[in-house]
Amino acid sequence: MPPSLLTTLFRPAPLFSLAALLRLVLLLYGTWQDAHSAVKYTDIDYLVFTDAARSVSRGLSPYARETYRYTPLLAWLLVPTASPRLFSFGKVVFALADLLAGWLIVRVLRKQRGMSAERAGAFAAIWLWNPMVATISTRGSSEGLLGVLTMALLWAVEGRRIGVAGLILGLSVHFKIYPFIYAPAIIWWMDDEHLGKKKTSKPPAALAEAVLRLVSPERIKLTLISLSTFMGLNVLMYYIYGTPFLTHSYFHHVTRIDHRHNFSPYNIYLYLASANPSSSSLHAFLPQLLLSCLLIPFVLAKKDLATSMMAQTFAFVTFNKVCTSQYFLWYMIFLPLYLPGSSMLRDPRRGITALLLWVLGQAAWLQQGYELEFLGVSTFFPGLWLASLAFFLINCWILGIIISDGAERSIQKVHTS
Amino acid sequence: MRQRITYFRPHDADWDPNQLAITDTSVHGPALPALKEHKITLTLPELPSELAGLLRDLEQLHLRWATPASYDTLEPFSSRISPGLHVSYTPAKEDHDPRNREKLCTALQAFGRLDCSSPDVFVNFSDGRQPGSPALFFYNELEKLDGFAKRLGPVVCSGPSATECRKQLHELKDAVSLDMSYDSTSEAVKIQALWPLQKREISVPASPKGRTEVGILGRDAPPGMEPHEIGVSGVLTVIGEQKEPSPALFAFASRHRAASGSFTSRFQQPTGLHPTLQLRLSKTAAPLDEDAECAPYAYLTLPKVIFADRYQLADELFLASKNLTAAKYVSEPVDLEAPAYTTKPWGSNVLLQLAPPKDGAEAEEWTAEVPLHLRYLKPTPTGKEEAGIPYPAVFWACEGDKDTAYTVSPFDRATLGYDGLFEPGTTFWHVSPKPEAGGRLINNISVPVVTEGASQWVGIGTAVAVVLGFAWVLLTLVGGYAKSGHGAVAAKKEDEDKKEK
Repeated sequence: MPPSLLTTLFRPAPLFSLAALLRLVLLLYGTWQDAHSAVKYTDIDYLVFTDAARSVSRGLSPYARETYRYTPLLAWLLVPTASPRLFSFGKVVFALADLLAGWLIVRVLRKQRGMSAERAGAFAAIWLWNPMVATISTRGSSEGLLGVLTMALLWAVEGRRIGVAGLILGLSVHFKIYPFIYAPAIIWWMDDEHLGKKKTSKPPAALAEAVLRLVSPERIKLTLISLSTFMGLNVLMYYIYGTPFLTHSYFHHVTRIDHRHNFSPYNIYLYLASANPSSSSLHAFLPQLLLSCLLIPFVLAKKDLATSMMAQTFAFVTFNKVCTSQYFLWYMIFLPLYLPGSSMLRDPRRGITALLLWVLGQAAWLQQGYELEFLGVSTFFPGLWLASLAFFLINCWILGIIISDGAERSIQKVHTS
Repeated sequence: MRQRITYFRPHDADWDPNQLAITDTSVHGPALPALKEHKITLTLPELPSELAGLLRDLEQLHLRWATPASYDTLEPFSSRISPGLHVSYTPAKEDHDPRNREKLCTALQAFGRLDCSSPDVFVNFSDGRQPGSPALFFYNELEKLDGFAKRLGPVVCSGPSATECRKQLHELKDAVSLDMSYDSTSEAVKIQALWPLQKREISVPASPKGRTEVGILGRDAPPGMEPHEIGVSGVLTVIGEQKEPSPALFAFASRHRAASGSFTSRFQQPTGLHPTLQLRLSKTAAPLDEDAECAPYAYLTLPKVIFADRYQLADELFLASKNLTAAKYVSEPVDLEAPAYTTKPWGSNVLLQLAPPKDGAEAEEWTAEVPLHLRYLKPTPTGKEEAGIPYPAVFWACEGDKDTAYTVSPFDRATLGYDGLFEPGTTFWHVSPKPEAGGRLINNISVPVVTEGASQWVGIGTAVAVVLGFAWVLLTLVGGYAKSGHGAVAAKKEDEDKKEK
């Protein structure tokens, strides 16, 4: 097949140049809009980060800024933004993180999946040229950092760099909590076969032996390194910033009432529950954690770690008590690794239906949200509620496809080899 | 106990002092257009013992109430506050004994059901204010003083003058503003009530317990009056001491003045969850006779259902697009996310500097917009909840000489919330509020909430959807497991195939 123009664009140099150019244009446009319009391009969260960074640069706590609910590391990272001329520094960092994540995607696809440069580039473009991804980072949302952390985690694990993987895992859980769901998947994946060691061919004689076989030196190493990184960072932050660090970075996420409308199926239920002080909504964590920490990694992780992580993240976001569109980035980073050979590509009708339903579900919800937010129509019930349930069920259906694909993954390898 | 009753006439009202009938027990006169101020000064021992006990635990206490009804007034009675009851105080001891607050809250129930029992309902008030400002602040909407007058009667009216006392209390139902101030240095309680400008008969009975001074006054220009002063002339008399009214002519510097023009306040429609309060100012301009720097301000009193985001009000371009210059003060704390039913403080205060049009000193009409946000409220049967947001106080603040002796003014009024945020010596030129509809200085807003009836459906419906979704995902997992187990089964097969080859 002669290289068409499009396939040349997927070669590394044009792939990354275009991705960088897209972000540069958005960055400059955003700066222009911020300077000339009362409606800002910059995300409100970015103002929270930069306020916190300014606080830190003055030797104060980042938690002096209300609604700063992140690790102090983020505020430290953004300290240069305290100087007005470097206000966009953070956005540049987030955009670079996007590119780095894209580079890791290409690397994983080529080195660990044996793909050609163009094919790997084409799939990486789903992330690198994605306008949603580029907009979110150039508006100054830190989710792109999570993208690079989770992709680096996958790259380290599949490359059997256990120490590095432990460090990244500990750091990313400290950063945003949710990557802890990857820990069981990685641990489960780390069997002798995947680590390239000789298999003990004998099946375990007893349950005790099976359990004992799970306790391998590599697994212990990963657990120890990730735990000590996570705890080390927490102790350090607690030592410096005290209780506000714990309250805002961690406890807030457990105790928050989450009444403001969002995509979560639990949203209206939580609003009603919060108005009634005696009720507790902690049981909402159960299906979410069962799927994302236990069942999905158990079935998928050993077959295809990337698809398992994608499905786990998808389940975590879908079943979460809060769900905003920024969270969708958490699973979009895995799309370039999941899509090759998936049934969504094999059967484009299925893929397009999934994409359309995913977009339509959001559109329906956003329409109801608009009526509530801007027109003051009480659409909480039934409109917004039904829209969030519909979106939830659409997501469950898509999750089903991802899981089925993940379960078939290694079978396919047989057929293609 | 000392009482002073002042009838204040507008410029053009003709009035003959000789028509005044002064006896040993009263002053009477024919009806004239006037506003009336009644000022009472009491010492602690003159108060009911419970009330005196409460005040002894406080360093200062200030109650300020304004009617939600629209009313006309005259200089120097031009000061305005948002309609409702404003309470500020400083405990005597630093330790903030919770019993002080509880006792105060109990006493405040005399005004009606006030929601002040929760510990954090009072908001720290002294930050960014002049030294000596009260420490804690609380606001509650309060439509009328009828209930207060009725409940207070049995407590303060006793003895032979009880009937007269109750009659006077009853008059509070028509008052447009009421102030009560106590401070521990003077150990005195000052009560000031104001009745609006309208035709009223002069009728003052003597107080059975103390001195009663009556004044019938109006604006004038005494010789030697400074340009920034207000001149007043008329007659004064003390019941029981004088048979004839004595003429009076004096001038004083007034903290509060009346600016030209007026303003209305309304919510831009549709309000949504992020309503915009539009302050439309017409024909108002900076007082011209002053060299001082003047700027227009709005001081908002926002019950907790609604709030301003201090961070949103920090961007200059954004502010300029709303005809605002700066948010000079936002009380703390203001939670930016919590629903009203978990928010403890009573609400918040905001001082906004407005940006008048640059061209033309006396622009006909211009609008400043205040972006606000609604909190989530508890479910209601209709899916709507009505809330009333009091009009803000809108004024031009002009810098003045720090040593201006405003307190010398017989009609001075201070501790109104916003005055403490400016330098001493500032003059406040008040823009007169004009009601939007219904004659009330309250902006009504309808807040969308979830309907009460939803709860039975939402509980079961959400559970069904989550179980369905969960079951579907589980099924695919079981299907995947049935096909290929939990391990890399097929890959193993592949290895075996290779081995066989």
